[in-house]
Amino acid sequence: MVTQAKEHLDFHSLGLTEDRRVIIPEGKSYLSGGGLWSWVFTLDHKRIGVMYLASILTFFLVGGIFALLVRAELYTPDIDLISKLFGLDAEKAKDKYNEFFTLHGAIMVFLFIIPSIPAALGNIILPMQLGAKDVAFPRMNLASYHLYVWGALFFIGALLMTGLDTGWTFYAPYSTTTVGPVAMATLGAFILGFSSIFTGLNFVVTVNTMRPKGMTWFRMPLFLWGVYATAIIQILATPVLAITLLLLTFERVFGLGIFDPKLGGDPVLYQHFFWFYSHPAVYIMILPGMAIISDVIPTFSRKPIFGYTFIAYSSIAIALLGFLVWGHHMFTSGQSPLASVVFSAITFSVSIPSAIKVFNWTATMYKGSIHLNTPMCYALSFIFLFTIGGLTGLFLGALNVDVHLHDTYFVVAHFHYVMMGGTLIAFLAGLHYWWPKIFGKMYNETWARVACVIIFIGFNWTFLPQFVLGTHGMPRRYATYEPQFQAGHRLSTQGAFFLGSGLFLAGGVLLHSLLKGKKAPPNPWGAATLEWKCCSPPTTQNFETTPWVGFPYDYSDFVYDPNEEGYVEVLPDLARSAKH
Amino acid sequence: MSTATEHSHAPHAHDEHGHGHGEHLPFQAHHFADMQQQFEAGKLGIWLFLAQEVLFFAGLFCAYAVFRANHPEVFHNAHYHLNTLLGAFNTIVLLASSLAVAWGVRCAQLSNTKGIIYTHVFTLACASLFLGIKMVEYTHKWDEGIFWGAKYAYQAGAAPGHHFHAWLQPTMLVTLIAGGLLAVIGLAKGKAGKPVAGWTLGAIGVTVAAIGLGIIIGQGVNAATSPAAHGAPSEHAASEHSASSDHAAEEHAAADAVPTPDQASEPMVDRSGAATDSVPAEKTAGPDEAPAMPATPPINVTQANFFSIYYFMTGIHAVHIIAGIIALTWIVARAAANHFNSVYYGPVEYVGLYWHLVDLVWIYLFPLLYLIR
Ligand code: HEM
Ligand SMILES: [Cu+2]
Repeated sequence: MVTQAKEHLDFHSLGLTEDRRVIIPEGKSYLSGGGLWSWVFTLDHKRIGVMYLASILTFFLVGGIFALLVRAELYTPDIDLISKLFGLDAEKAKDKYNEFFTLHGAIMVFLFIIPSIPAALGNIILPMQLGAKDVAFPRMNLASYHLYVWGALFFIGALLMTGLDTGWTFYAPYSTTTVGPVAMATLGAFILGFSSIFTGLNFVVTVNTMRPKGMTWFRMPLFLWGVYATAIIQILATPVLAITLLLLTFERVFGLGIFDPKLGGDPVLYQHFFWFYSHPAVYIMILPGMAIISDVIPTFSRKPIFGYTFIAYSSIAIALLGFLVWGHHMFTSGQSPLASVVFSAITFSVSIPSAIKVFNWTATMYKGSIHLNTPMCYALSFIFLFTIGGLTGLFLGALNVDVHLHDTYFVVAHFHYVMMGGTLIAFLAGLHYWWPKIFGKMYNETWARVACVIIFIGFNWTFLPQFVLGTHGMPRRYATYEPQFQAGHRLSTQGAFFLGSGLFLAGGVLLHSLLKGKKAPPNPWGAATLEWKCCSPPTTQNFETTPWVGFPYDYSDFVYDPNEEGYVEVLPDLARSAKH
Repeated sequence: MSTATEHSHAPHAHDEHGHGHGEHLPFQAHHFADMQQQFEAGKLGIWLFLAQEVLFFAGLFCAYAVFRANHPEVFHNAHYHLNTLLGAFNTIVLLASSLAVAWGVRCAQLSNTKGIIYTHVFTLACASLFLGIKMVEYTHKWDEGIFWGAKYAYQAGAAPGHHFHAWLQPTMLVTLIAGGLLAVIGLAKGKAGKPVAGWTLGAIGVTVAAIGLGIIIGQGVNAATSPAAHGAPSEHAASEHSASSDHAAEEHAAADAVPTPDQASEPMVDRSGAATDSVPAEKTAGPDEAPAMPATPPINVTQANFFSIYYFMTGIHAVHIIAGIIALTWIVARAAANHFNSVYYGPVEYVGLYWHLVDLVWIYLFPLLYLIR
């Protein structure tokens, strides 16, 4: 296992001549020039992506602070920390606790995870992987970011008004009767929904109509496949959430009477609507994560991806099957037993395409030349953590087991393994992978890898105990608990702070790179996809001419050049082939 | 809002980037290789947007299906409150508008600018007619106390004392006069050699005036089918019992007087809290009372729930009509500026497709809400 510096065969030891080097001309960075307005109203997909990146990271921080508050409170069985911090009596402090986990969940889901990979990284990378100058509808792209900001403002409004205590699911009839600013938050989520729809729509159209000559569907990088599948879900599932939240808002503000049983409404209908979106939404979160991993693993194994078509099709299979399993969140809601049985059965089938991907990633590494750079370290963590998350999902998908585990910490642990262990880790893999391209700076590999290890250990330290707590019957969303659960909660809280420190370290390494990092070569990892065929950072136009398209996982033409500290593409030896 | 934004995007981008690229046509964006690619991108974009719209409405149709399947009798009784003739009239208006829009797209493909403008102004008039008639329908119901969910206060024969219909007359006058004025100014501008300002103002004028026309037609139809519709509530109560020759009133009376098995056991609930003898127990129990874990309280689905669905679906549909009006006006303005021809007519087609969807939704809403058996 090596890193690039120790690559055995490099440009010079291979005796290659300079005329065979593919030159990538330097150009004016898309980051430079222009004032604030040139950012706020930019149509450049990369600038929009960078603004998304800054915004989602800010909200990741806010959501993370709420998470640490919740974990700190759970260190002891009684409600003490929050009542001391805020000078509240026990009952009021418990209300505050409800607010904290609600804000944590809602911010993380709607403002961080869902836009994280598609809207931030996808926006920057997708057009470049297509060799295109921009997405199909640059203005719609900008509008989608502005909608994101408006949605976020509504959320901040709800946060400042205090009292939002419904949980991120906004279940009726509690959400239609509680005193908190529910309408504010649901309107925010409604707006964010349209931001997400516009991003998805843009991506589907871009991929469908703007692929360069030579890039057939099965020569697309797998990142594009994953983002494409995600975009389909965004377009088809999000409107259902939008209408649901609108109904909920009207129910609260005007007393509509669709969900509230007091008005003749049907609260289980709300759950159906909500999960019809929110189960597919978990695939909005994980598919782009899997997409990143599918690009990172072959690059750092220096070996073509194993089973390309299977990975591509499995993304689409996940996207479609994901629409048929929402009822597994409602086994205990009083839906018909027949429906529960059917939903349980279909749930098992969804895990097949996920497992296919895991097998293909491991097979890709087999006999590869594995380079343990930071993105690869995150990718390896991802495989480990996502596998645990997916397998525990099967426990929950089993109807009878779920009746016991529903609404316990087992569920909490499950979805953190897939959302944080999966999506967040994949996001970090992608961020470290494309960082040199996006900002044109290298980061400190050593410290970045240390952060990755701390995050990996901290993550398991936090969430493994929660599986045990859950099976022992610790319910979720409670501020206090029986003393018998304290050992598990203690571990979990310690782990959470360790994990937090790892995340801060990773953030620090990246910030340091922005300020003091070494200049990045055009292709530091030797990847074969098109985004590495422009300079780092790219120009506003990305490419002067559409680059030549080959198979995205064929690394045979990329050779390490120690002078550049990156890889160069080598042209075929024309002189030799002429002799033959 | 979302609709309007979506619409303007694909096309707008073109004006911005188009200029300054020698080899590009005036409305070609710089990141597209050619007009063909640009057109295909726009077309796929609008189709996906429509798919999104269908799912947006699908949630509502789903709620409708659940409530109706569980309580067919409530839906059956409630639909007698709707004026089928007005609904049918509006259906025809929208169908005509869809025809005009399709015709307009054909005109664009043939580079017939006048044709685009005429068909789209006609469509705008239809859209406003529709809204004017919807206003009459809404106010008529509000005056009877037929609101939604918690606000529902209808009682056969009782007079809740709302007078929303009093606003119809002034609205009609204002829209007719203001619309007429705008149209005249537009005409003058057009004569003065400013076709864009002229046609835009003219289109807005026609749109505004058509609302007034819609109100007149709506009230006329209402008066013809039910004398009670916009009369004083007391007359209404009287007609409920005396007007034997009147079809609509008869239906009203029938619907409210003959209790179905469901209603016999649980008469009409008055959700406004006003006096009825049948306020269910769970209504009086406030949320702050001790949760004594009662046996699951009965859930009363009543006409109030039908009207929750009715107002929400038709209301969201009306919002789409308004968004459509904005988009159609924008097409008129651009057509007047001579932007469209057989090479570049994407926006006309995209807005047209959107309008067909709005029409299509109504084609489903009309039988589902007005024609229940
Ligand atoms: C192999 C695939 C998966 C299966 C079989 C599965 C199954 C389940 C089941 C049955 C539940 C309901 C548990 C309960 O409430 O009693 C659940 C909850 C959840 N899952 Fe998964 N899951 C899978 C993957 C994922 C992924 C990839 C994500 C997100 C990235 C995810 C996120 C969630 C979330 C957020 C919840 C809890 C929602 C809540 O009640 O707040 N799951 N999962
Ligand atoms: Cu699920």
